[in-house]
Amino acid sequence: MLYGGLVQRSSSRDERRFLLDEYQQIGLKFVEPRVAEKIKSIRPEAYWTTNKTVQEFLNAAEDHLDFTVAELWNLIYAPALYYHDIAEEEKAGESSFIEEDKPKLKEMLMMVKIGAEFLSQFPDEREALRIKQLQFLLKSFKAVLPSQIVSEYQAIIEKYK
Amino acid sequence: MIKINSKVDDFFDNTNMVINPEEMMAKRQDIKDVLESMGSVGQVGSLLAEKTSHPEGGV
Repeated sequence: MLYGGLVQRSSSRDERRFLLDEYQQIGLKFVEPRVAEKIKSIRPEAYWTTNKTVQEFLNAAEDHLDFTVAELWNLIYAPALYYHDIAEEEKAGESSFIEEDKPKLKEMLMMVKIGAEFLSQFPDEREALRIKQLQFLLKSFKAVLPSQIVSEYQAIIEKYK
Repeated sequence: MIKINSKVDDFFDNTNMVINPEEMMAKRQDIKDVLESMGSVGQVGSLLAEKTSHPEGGV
């Protein structure tokens, strides 16, 4: 979230790029190497949207914090958190990306797919509860999300419920 | 004044709500320092961080 603010308030493209690279390094520090390698294929501007979700923040209240599981859910939730209010944030001057740098829908879909692909490979005793959380998010945000993102969420729910 | 409908990320990215942006940039490598510089809002983050052991040990 800190890097979310630093990037959104940054005054130059060079500074943004520098901060985006730093954010990726920090975000992947405790993530399982195979997953981290796959995530590195995501353009930093799109990966940056995971700063909105910070599942580590919520999962820290659990008995065991698994940074890889948290990161997989960060990838899944990031598009929802980005799209649901990006228009408002742009109006409020809280987004400094120029048009060509903005996260693209196909990149967002790729993030969700990567998260979904690895979920089954990492044991998570709270998986059923997290699926319920995703169902709740979908119910709340469905109207403001791109239809392709909604379809990806529905596929995850169907696969893991 | 803090808006009732503020979101947590507004304290980091809303130009009207970020208290000390230069300090946040300068201290970004140490989140504990950043939280301390954010006053009462940062205290909430610090208390949450104390709830779980960090993978490298400590908070």
